[in-house]
Amino acid sequence: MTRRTPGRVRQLPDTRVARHCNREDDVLAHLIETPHTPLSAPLQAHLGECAGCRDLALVGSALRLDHATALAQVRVPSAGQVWWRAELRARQDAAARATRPITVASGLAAACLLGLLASVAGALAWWVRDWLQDQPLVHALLAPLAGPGTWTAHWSGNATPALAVGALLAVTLLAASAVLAAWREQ
Amino acid sequence: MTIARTALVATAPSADGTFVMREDEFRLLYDRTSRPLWVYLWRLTRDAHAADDLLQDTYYRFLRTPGRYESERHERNALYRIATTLVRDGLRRGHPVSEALPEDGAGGLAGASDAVHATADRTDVQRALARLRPRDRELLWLAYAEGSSHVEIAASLGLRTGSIKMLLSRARRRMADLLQRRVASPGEPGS
Repeated sequence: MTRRTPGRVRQLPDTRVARHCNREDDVLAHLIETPHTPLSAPLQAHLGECAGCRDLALVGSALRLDHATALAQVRVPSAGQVWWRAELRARQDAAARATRPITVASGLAAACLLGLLASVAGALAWWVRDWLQDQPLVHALLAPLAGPGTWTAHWSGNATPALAVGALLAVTLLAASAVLAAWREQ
Repeated sequence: MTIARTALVATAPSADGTFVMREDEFRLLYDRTSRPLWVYLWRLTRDAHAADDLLQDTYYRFLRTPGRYESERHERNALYRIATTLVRDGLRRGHPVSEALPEDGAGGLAGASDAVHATADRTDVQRALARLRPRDRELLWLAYAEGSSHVEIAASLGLRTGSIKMLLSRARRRMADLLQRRVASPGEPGS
């Protein structure tokens, strides 16, 4: 005799559960078709001998009763309500699908605009630098703050590649953000 | 009727083509299937609100999925297949099932909790179902509560028909053990 472990479901050998009794269909038919009538005497006698059919009768009758009671109590939304919600959701889905390319395009446009602004700023930087170099007042003001020729050398030597890389990074980041935003929305 | 419905489903999408059937056809389908489907969802999730949401989602997906249905049973199987998939997806994402089954009937049928949980027998069934694996729950419910055939169960759960008998037999054995244990020790806490 197998000893039952407390708190755990007893696992029976597969040989027992795999065996299919020929009377199972009779028991099942009784449960489904005539659940409120008592089992016939031969079937009742069979249940005393067959563990599989006993399990079937126990589980089947419990579930049938549970199902019947729940079915009698359940209240579902009306068909019209479900249809209306489905229509609403279909419209929302369609709108989301329609606006997805616009979202991507907006993101890309924003990225392009920022890139353009960065390029313009880069071009203007040359002009500003030249203009500042021509202003004696600015030289006079900045001379005490930096060593001789420090900031002007820095601007004239490294500004172009730094700005170009910055603009490229900004465009890449914004494009990626736009694509990510569109994907999340989807 | 069945043949007529098949033709309707196949050839009469909604006016704007959004759904695979018209509203009047949907009403017929809904009246026929919604209540058992809701109970099935409720039994799988043990959450009335989740069952409400999943019911809506199930019909929405059904309405948006083009398909030809040979019979009403076939149509019903497709619905149960969608519902089962949605529940499994929910379980995979970690919601909406709550493992605990409170004694006071919370989490039962909407608006009818007291009546539904009135008997100890039904509570035992709920507890036993709650302790089963999701697939065992699905199998047992479809086979014995709904009275579905092995072919229908296979279609609803996406399993091979040949494996249903074995899986069902094992699931039944597990549930019988749980029910018998409850009967043998009715005061057992924490079931």
